[in-house]
Amino acid sequence: MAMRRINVDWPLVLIALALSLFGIATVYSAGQTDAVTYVARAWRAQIVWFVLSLGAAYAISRASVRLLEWLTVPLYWFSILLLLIVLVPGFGSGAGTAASVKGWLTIAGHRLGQPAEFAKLAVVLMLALVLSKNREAPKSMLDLWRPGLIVGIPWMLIMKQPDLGTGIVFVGIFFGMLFWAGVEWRLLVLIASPVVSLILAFSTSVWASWFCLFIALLIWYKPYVFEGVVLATANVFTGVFAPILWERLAPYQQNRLRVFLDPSIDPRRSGYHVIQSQVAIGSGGWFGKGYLNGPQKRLAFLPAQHTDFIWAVVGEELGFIGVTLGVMLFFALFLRVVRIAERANDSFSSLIAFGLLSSWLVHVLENIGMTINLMPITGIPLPFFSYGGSFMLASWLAIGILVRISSEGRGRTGQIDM
Amino acid sequence: MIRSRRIKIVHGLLAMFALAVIGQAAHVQLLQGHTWRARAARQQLAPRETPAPRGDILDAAGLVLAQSREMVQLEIAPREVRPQDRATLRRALMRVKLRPEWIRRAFDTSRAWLTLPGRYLTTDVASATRIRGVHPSAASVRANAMSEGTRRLVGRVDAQNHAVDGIELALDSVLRGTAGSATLVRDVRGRSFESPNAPGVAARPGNTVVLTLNHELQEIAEHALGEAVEQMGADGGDIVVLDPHEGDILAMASRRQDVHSTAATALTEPFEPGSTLKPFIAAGLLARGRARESDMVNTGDGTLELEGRVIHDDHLVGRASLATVLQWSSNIGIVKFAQRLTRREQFEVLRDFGFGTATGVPYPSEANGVLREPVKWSPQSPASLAMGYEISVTPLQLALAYASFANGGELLEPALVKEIRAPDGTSLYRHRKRVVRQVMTPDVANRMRKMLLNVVENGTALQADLSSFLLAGKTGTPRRTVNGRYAAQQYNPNFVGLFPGDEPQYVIVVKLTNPRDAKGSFYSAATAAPLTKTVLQAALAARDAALDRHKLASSAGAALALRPDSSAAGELSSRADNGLSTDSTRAQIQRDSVRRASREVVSAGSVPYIVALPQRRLVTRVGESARPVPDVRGMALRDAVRSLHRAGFHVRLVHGAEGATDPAAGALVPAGALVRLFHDF
Repeated sequence: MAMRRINVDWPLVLIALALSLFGIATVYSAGQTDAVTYVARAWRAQIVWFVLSLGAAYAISRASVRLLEWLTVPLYWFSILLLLIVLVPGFGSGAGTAASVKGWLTIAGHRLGQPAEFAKLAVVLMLALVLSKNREAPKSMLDLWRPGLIVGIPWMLIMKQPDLGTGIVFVGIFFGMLFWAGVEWRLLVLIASPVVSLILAFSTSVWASWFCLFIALLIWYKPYVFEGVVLATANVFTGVFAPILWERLAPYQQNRLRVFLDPSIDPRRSGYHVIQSQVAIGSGGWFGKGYLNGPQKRLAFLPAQHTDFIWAVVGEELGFIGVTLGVMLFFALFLRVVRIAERANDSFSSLIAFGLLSSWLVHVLENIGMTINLMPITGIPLPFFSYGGSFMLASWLAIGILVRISSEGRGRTGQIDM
Repeated sequence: MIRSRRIKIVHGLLAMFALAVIGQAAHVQLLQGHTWRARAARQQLAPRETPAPRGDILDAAGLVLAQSREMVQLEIAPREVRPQDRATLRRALMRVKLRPEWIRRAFDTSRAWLTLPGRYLTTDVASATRIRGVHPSAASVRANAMSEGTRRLVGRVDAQNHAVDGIELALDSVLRGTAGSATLVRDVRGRSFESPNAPGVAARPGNTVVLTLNHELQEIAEHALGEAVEQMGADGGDIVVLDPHEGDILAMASRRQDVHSTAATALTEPFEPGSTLKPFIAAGLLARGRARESDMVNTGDGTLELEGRVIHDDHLVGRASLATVLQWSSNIGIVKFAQRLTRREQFEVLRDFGFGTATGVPYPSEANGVLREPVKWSPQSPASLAMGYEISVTPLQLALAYASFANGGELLEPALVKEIRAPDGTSLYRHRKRVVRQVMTPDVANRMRKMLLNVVENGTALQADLSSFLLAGKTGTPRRTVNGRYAAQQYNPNFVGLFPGDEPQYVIVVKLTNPRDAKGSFYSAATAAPLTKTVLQAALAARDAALDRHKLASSAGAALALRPDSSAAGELSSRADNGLSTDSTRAQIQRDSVRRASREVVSAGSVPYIVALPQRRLVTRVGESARPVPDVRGMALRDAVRSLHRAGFHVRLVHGAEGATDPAAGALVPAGALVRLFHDF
């Protein structure tokens, strides 16, 4: 029986392969410290996971988009179940720098994986399914209750872990996919307005000007009266009660936000990560200290050098050239995914592609951004680079799905079964 | 189409993000790069000084007197020691021969911390230092296996390898080496590694200093002095043995009841020498042609009234020649002879023999002694000086002055350092005889030596007679000054010997403070002279005490020729071989002493009335008035000397690299110390 061949999107696969190999090489380098730790062996596990991930990607690329559509709902609920299990004491555990985040599914002491990684995929599928059902793009907040719930449930569970970084990814997915589904930007701004209010609450005058802007936008967009009232109330609430909410944040989260604004306020503790990461990247200069030779990493000044701060290893050892190369690879990947989303056969596929893009974009922007003090620190891994099996698997599953979507997409007809 | 507009937005956003990331990367890596690199270097690199190993101090024969070793000190936290390690630790501690009670304490968990005594070689305790709960720390140990006296003379270094006193301090600039620098790489836990990239400067080990001291002779002198001080109940004593031809200090032993005294009182404590100074007046007379050995003076009935005081003689010699005056140490005789010199001449004679000036031996706190200018003299001073009062000299100065009788009239600079060797073995400095001045002609020196020979053979110093070898020398039994006053019934008997008397290889100065022999005599003939004999006999018996045996053999012959009556030649040469320690020798010595005791008139308290010498405090404690040596590099010689003088130092010019000083510029040195200024002549 002849296997049904698909038309592989080689540029996508090659870019992903390049990123993965770059990543494994960096994980290997991250293990080369003067005082040898378990990280020295991480690259082998990473290769094993990489090979497994390639197999999984191949397998999922054999599944048609319709099959995925059919599997979406069960997958979604399954991921919700896993997220719930993690929250049960005894089944969740923390790891690495994010030891206080209980994100690992743990059974009898064995860490099996991070359900949040699969939840991202499931949420993207679920959201795509729901949004593609609408003929028209949602016009009001009431139309958005289902998408909001789909993202909201896992988001709440993840924030309960509490994993701020992954939570932000869900927000990114949500807004990205709504944007791609055709929701007007003014509505998106209105939806986001309570969060903006929250952020701007630190200064009454700044918040007041924002609030005026928000009212103007409200009048321009003319939502339902009920919505307008809810939004305005929410803005006032977050703006006024933000300080109280702030008090409710865990101290380490507060510190991370504070340190983002000024890393030098606490160089020994919260600021330590940013400063050491910047020391590593900054001392890399144009060409870096040479592969395997970064002293910041070798002397263990760099925290989480194989996971969250792996980009600092790239920056220190390969310099500005290496950083640019890496960023360009990610940029190429994103452009390719946008192209796939653009040419997808149906809106479900297209939304999946764009959802995956949103997820990666948040990861990359946040992770690289925090290493060079562009973003506050959140424990968030870098796709294809950071050491971690679940994430590697999830990323390659996404690549597999994208390959499938690409092969089913427009402009590809006549090339199937080549 | 909505999508196409959105795609543009998406492309724009993606490009914006990419640019933002790359822009920030450029900002951090390219613009701020040097700041971060500096910060990285600050936290990753730890510049460290690597201490230089201190140089060794050897004796003339190459025996190690002081040597630095890197060792470890062990501290144990008994509660941290895991049960499975206990057996290993016990074995390791037993291997280093730790006393059982300490081993028991090391396992006593009621203690939190225990510092084990002793320092161990790293290799010996390697198995112990790996155990948890054992905390090793590096400790440099300056090991010297020598006798107590040598150890004190060599001096100490503190735990940081800084010199504290003695030769260690005097030659610190030579011994300490130059510390190197290394850049260590420091990891996040503060563990340091030698950096493979950062170049370091290797430490230059200190130079090896070979002293002129002869270890065997030194031990003999110390031992003999210690016994003599014990037996005679003395307050202390000094022995200096000098090579009269080279100026090498062969031995320098000091003993004080006062435990706080400095190690080398032979250099630091001047005293009024008394009769041992008389030969210099005689030498001055001979050199100036004012007298000959046979010139006579009348000493009368043993009392002479002069300038309002009465001078006594212990031995009545009546009308006596200069030689006889010296032989019987006639005070009246030497005072009368001294009148042939003007005050100025008398001062110059003594000054030319080096009195009143530090000899420049490289040792801390050397004393100048006191020789006052004639303008400060009283009418009685010429007589006092002739008898060895109103002047204070150190035993070393005395030895050097006597050496001129033995070497043809040269006053030498003393040497304590024979050679300085670089770590690679090349010789940086080798002592060569340095003549300060020709004090007299070789002929006068020879005649003086013969007169001194006569003193031992027939005069006051019979107790020092060695029977088989000739010994030239002179006794002195001056009153002792304590805090500038003469102490009642206390004397500083001293003896200076040239051995062998015909061809001297040693100048030996023996000085005792307030001793009494078995019969209660304090006279030098009964105290210092026999001690000299003891030292010389032991030196003859020793394997290597810096004596030239060939020359000694001919000396023994000369003794025989001079004294055909004493014993058969064969017996003498065999005695020489046996080191003169046989019973027959001792019996002979006892016979001699009994036979000659009748000639010695012991009359306590007959020391002449003299003017007390104003005493300066000569020993300066380091720290009290220590001051830094000024940096005189680049100065004209005259300015450099002036600058050093102004800072309160004595200056001696030494051939060497222009402008350098020893001690080096910046070193803290007591005021009045000698600073060598190197000058390229």
